[in-house]
Amino acid sequence: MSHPPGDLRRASLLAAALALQTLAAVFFIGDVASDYRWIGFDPHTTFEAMVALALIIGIGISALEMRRTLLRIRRAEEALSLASGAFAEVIEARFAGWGLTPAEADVALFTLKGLETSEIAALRSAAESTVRAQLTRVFAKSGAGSRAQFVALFVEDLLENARAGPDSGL
Amino acid sequence: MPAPVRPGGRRGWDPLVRLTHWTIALAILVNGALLRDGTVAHVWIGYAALSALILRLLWGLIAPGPAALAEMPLAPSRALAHLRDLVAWRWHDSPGHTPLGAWMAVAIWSLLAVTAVTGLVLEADPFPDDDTHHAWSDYRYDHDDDEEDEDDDAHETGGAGAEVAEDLHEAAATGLLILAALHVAGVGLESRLSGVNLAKGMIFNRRERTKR
Repeated sequence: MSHPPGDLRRASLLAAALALQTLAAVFFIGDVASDYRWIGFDPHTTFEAMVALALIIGIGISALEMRRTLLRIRRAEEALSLASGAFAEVIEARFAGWGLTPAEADVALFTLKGLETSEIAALRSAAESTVRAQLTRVFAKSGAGSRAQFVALFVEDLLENARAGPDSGL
Repeated sequence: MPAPVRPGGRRGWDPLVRLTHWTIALAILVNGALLRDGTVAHVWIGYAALSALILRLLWGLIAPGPAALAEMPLAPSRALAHLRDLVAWRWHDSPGHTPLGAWMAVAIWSLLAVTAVTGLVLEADPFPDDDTHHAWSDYRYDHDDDEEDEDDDAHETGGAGAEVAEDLHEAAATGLLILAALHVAGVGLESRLSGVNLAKGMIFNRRERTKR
């Protein structure tokens, strides 16, 4: 896995640094310009012009670094959504393989997401006994003896995914 | 069956866009509505706004995605289509600027450039204790509560150029306040229409749907 949170912080820091660099550059260039107007080109003005130039180069480098960081964040996000999309496909394929009805698939998915029987019943506006019965059929079809075993069937797939990693092409 | 993947939030504006946006917004509000005169704070806030503008435009040349100037939907046909959509209360998803929003950004940037440059002409010295400042700004610092005399002062000591600069500065600043109000109204309208809180995309890294 890559580290988007670290990159996000990095991007914010770069933005703040760039803002300060640009403010400094604007002041400096203004100073060089007014010095040039009053004094002309002397060692002092030349040196200040060099500092201003260095500031501008620094701004360019920071901005390019910012661009790289944002692109890295985007790639990590895309890999992540690809991974979760792939996992969703795995889930759907399994549900279809077990021959779950749409209602059973719904209940099974809510169970995977960690919802209690009572919560699923409320979400589906169904009786708890109905949900329990559907869940029993889901377990029977999948061959799982319990809620924990049912979830464990998918943990295996997730671990496969993590080993493959988002960078290895999935 | 519900979507297996949580409906993810949309990507918001990048940190640099957000920082420069709010710097400029705050500068327009404070300098345009609260600090009307040429105080030192006004001059500093002006410099901050100018550098935010420069940084944003520079970033527009480098940035990936919707922050890039080249990505702004500025074709007049798109602006007209957008206007028709608004009248018909239709909404099209766009990842970055909306066509009218892009024109608003261009208008605000242009007026901000005029305001900043005329501001520099009027008072470029951020350190007024320095010995390089102009006699005219001296006068202003002592009499900045006296709005009525300003035009005469400018005429006497700054010349006609300064007077033109001051008129331009004030006109552009007023224009900025009007555009800012229009911009806020436009964002409110689009958010209402789309069910996406667009302002959140300018505050946080991503914008979530507020309703389906």
